[in-house]
Amino acid sequence: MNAQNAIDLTAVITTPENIQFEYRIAGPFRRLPALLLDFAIRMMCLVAIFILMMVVGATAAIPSGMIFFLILLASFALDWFYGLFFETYWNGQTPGKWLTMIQVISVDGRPINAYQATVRNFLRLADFAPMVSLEMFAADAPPAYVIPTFLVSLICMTLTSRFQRLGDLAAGTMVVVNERSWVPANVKLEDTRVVSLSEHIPANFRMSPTLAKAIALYAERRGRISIGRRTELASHLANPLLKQFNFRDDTSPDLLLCALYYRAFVSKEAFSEVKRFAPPPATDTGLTSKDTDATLLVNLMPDSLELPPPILKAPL
Amino acid sequence: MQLDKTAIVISQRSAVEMVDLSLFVMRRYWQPITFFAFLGILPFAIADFVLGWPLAQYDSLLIASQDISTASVYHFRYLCVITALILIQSPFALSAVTYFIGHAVFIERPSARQVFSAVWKRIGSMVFVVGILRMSLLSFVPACLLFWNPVFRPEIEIPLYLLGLCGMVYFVRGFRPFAGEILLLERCPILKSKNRPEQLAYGQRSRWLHSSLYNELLGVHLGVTIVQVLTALSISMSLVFLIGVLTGIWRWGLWMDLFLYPLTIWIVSTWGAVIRFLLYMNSRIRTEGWEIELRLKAEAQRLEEMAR
Repeated sequence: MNAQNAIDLTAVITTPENIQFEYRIAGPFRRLPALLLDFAIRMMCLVAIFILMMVVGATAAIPSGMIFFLILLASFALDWFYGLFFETYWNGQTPGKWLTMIQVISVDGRPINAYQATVRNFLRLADFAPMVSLEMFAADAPPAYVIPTFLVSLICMTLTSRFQRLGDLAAGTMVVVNERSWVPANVKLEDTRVVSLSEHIPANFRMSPTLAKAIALYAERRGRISIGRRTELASHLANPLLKQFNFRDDTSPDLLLCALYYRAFVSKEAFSEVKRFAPPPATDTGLTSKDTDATLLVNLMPDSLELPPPILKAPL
Repeated sequence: MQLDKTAIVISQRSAVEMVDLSLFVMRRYWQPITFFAFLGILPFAIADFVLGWPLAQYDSLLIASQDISTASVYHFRYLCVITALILIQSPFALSAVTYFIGHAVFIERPSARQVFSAVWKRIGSMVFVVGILRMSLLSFVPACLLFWNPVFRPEIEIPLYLLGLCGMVYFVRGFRPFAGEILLLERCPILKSKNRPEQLAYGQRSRWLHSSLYNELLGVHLGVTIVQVLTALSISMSLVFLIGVLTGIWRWGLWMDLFLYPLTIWIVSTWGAVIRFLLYMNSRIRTEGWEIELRLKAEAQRLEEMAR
């Protein structure tokens, strides 16, 4: 099984220009709050319209049948055209989706058009199915099938790789998370010995991209992990490296990985190696810059290397 | 085992994303999950059916009762008892599912024999922690008491069984949900072994894993409960719809009570076991940097292979 088959909540889209984008897809439970918010907004609008009509009806001489008709018309319009209107003119978002930071896009990554918004919103009723009758709760209730169970959409979303409901499948759309993507935090290496230790790492040692990524991940997350656990984690990689570099066995594993991080991403050597990592033009390879290690280098570059007193006690 | 090659992408996610991701996990492994869940659930389902049978005789119970005037009270009570029993028993009944998923993450496909043999080796710890302390097996005691005397006594059942027993189990599980994972996947013993002093005992491991996440774990537990309740309602009502289409009877009948409703709760509980495993993975990523450990170990393996 390769990494592409690994289960994840991402969808990769390749544009006609051969540029790849990675989207985090929104599943049914990520979308549920947006659905409830939109429902609440629609209900509030309907109540406001009802009150307005009552006031207008009381002041002007409008027949009550006409007011009832207008309220029904408003209800119909809100039910059927609310999502269609907002998704068409607000870049695939309704107020509920905007508040929960999700967005509808085409499966090819482009913004959705009016036709797609129409299809996916008109098929919403099919996704609510099966509808349950009021009779289930009271024997004398009318046989009105008005209670949605959403089971069709839940099954449909589970069976598609992009969490698409029936409306999405018909319209060729999907819902993605609109949050800012993960940006690596600035790494602060607080020990002055990191710099001096990095100078002792053999000059001919070259890190593979996977090793560089693993060390970058460690350096970025180490601040949130306890010191004991940090040492335990770093030991896995530090032990073979200590042998390879002929360092003393009592060298702090955490310090060694920080030194490697400094060497790879902060030191002058790192800058001289950026060229080596630099990607060929996107038009030749189809790669985006975010897929390359050069960007990783830039993203992980600290604003400043803070140098407070050493806190790591282990000797070099 | 390639430590950085996993069937699920190991990264930090939110609880809602974990619930969504669990649907994909269910889809990919639906056959083994169904198989292990069925075998684990079967004895519990039969026992619950037998013990629940007298509670489902609403009319005769109504005649025997002096205080209760409507059968719907007995109906509601039966549904509560069955739901509580299944939810309390599910962590024990679904041990094999937990073990299987834990290994499937590393692209292993343990055979049924391997799964049951591994669970059997840990059965003592599971019985003690999940079966007795967390009431999965002890839940049969009140069920038996209700079986012998099925007349509804709200003054006993509501404070003692519903609020006391179920409430306690619910909150213990909310604060420390990963007992099965610690016992089955990490193989922590109940007591610290003198032969292996480096291995943590269950209590210590559970404290380390859960204590820094209590607030969040409880919040996630409540959220997942709401999601599971909504899903159970959705499935149940869809089944009523299906029965209505097939038979023309659009009511929640005895078939629903005795077979389809318990089946729904067991399905949702199985899904809950998958969600719990994913949350366990996420907790380890957050508190222990698990994904870093996997990557660093994999890189260390590569360095050692290159050195040879």
